[in-house]
Amino acid sequence: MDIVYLLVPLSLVLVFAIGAVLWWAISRGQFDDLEKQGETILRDPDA
Amino acid sequence: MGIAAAGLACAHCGEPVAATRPEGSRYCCAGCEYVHGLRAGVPPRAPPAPARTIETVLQVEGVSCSACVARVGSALGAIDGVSAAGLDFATRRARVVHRHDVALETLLQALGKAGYRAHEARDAEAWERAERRRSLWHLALAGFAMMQIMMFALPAYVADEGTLPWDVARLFSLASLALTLPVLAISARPIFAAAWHGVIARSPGMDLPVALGIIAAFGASLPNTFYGGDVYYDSIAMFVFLLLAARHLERRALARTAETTESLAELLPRRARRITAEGFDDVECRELAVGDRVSIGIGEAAPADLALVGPATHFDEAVVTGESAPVAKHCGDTLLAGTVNLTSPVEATVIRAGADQTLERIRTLVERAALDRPQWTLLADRVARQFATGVVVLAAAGAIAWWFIDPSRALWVAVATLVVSCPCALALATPAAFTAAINGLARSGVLVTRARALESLASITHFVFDKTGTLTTGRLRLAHVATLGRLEGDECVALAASLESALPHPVAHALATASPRRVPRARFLNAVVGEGVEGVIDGRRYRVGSARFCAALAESPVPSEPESSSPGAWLAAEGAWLASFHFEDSPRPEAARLVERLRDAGCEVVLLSGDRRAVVEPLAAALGIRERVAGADPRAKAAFVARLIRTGARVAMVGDGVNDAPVLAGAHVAIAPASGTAIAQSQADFVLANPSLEALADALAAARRTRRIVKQNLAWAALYNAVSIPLALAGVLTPWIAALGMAASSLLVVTNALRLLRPAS
Repeated sequence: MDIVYLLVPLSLVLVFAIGAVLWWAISRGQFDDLEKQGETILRDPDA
Repeated sequence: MGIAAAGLACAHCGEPVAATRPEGSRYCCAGCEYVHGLRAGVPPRAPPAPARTIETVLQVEGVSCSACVARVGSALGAIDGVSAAGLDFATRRARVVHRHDVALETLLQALGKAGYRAHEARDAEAWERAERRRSLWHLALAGFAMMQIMMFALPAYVADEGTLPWDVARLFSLASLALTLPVLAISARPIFAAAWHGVIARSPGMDLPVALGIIAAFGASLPNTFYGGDVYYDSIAMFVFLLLAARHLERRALARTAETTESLAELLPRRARRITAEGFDDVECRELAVGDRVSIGIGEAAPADLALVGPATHFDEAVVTGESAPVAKHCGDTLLAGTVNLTSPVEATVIRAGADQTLERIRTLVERAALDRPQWTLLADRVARQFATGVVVLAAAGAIAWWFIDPSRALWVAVATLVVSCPCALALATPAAFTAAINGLARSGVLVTRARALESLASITHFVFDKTGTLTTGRLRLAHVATLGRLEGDECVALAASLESALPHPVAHALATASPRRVPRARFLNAVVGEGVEGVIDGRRYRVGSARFCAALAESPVPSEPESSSPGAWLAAEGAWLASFHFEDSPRPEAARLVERLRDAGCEVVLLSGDRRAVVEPLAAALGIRERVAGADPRAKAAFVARLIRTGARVAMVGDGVNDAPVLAGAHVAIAPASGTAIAQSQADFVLANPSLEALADALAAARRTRRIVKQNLAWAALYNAVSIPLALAGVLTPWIAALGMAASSLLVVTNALRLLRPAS
């Protein structure tokens, strides 16, 4: 059971790291428009 | 030869008015007078006095429920110099009417004190985006933390009594605490802030019970984290997550209603091609000024309200009128901003630009309507405000009662009660429905200028059309030909049509359409202003026009003719009378259907006209209107409406004569069918931008649907709270079920209201 003393703090570190990445992604506008990127492939290159 | 009165032009066709016309006449002939009388829009109103008050639109952040609406309104209204202020819950926009010397900073400070951040709506887009990101971040953080905390909480749930070592249990609790803190500090901060400001402003919203619930659960968990015992961090995180998720979805749904008005502005092109002496000049639309000439290609939208210079084309006016069939446009016709050129590239002159153009006016009207607070909303608001306080008191009472029954459950009962109550369903129920209905109607070309009127329209029993012209096309039609000489009626019509063919008169148009065969060519045409036309056909001289004018040619007095209601014209040849023509107006094709639909909806239709009986009777008969009054002057109309109302009727006046103040003031609702250009001046509660009268029946249906949905929403909110709060007090509900129920309830109310965005099937 001693392993939980390592794993639980480790998971916390991981959670905070993922949270930080999520914050970065949101504040950079990655989630602003989820449709546009998929549609660009259907558009003419010059339009 | 008639002598033109100096400088006086016919109010209908622009031809000079002859001195031979009756004193004070503004028309060149009886036909013009008649048609103009029918078609006259709302007369232009005097320009407003120099602006002493101005209007500012603010984007307000931190609005979480509709208690905030009242709070923002009173915070702004308390400022010296502010005459009116209102907040639209859906768009989170506040409209403030204030003296021009009240600084923007003063408004923002007042809002800041009440707990809201605000900014001018001009840079709304960037703000909206930031707000959306923040809301997503709060939600994502809470959701992510919730899942992780659940993992840490699981051992405590599944472990048998005593098998989980004390120190391992503390480790899990501490880890949960570490994850709960960011949720409370970041995700739940708006909830705490709103609750706090509500307490300070003494009008607590739904955030207060929620915040108290969170604090109570957290306060109970904190000592147990270190000294052993149950912790409720998983419930806290889940509750915050569910609440934020519901609000996030609500926001997105309400943003859809706001989009309708926003998208109106986006219909305007950003740039325009101005024609200058050197050629084309690519300019921003807002740089356009009245009198500028612009060029519009096929598929392009008009950058401002324009007068067409040429050539003739077709425009798609669906954005303004809701009517999708292309509209033919000739020289001099008005092109409304945002409407799309369909057939040929044209040039046009700017007649209204910027905030004056029709599309902008429509947007202002719709936005203003959204800020109007109908009775139902006000009532719901009042209830919701006291509701929050009531829930806190109930929860406290519940906790005290359970303290004596089973102390271990007292806290849970209090938290569940605080969380499950949903004043928000109560407070959202009406504004969401109204906003959705107003935007849905605007899409089909019915503009609601006061939300209150939508409420009144639902209970209307009598539709009173205050003008014959509202139900007719305003185009003359040849009704009857009386021959006075040897020629057949058909021949007379052909002769008259030939003489009139070059004139842009309504009478000429009616004759041309009625002419049964190829018209003979007339030569030496000579139009005598205000009298008629003279010309030579096959070597014979003819005159068509007024009786006196023709009598001079016929060399005999006017044959006696029964007095007729409608305008007429005469035809004479040298030395002989030939025929007299009578014209009448034809009912609009959809008018009969409108009357039928209104009657199916249980409403009486009344024709209350100032026209003569001979005009009113046939029209009413053709449309199946039983109750009709002819020859009513404004005072008689007002008296008629007042009498109707005394008998318990609820009256809607339909007509472009809405400027008849006494009639308008008497009716419950005023509805103006309007050409696009008249929208700006209209004082009516509803403006039908859609050229089809049936839009009126649609509006009635929409108003009734709104009433039904508001009732459903309020009934649901009342039922939900009446059932859930006793259950929570009885200790049946756990906090997470309470949280789920509350979130689902407010979502249900909002989605129900959004059904109004769809046009009626």
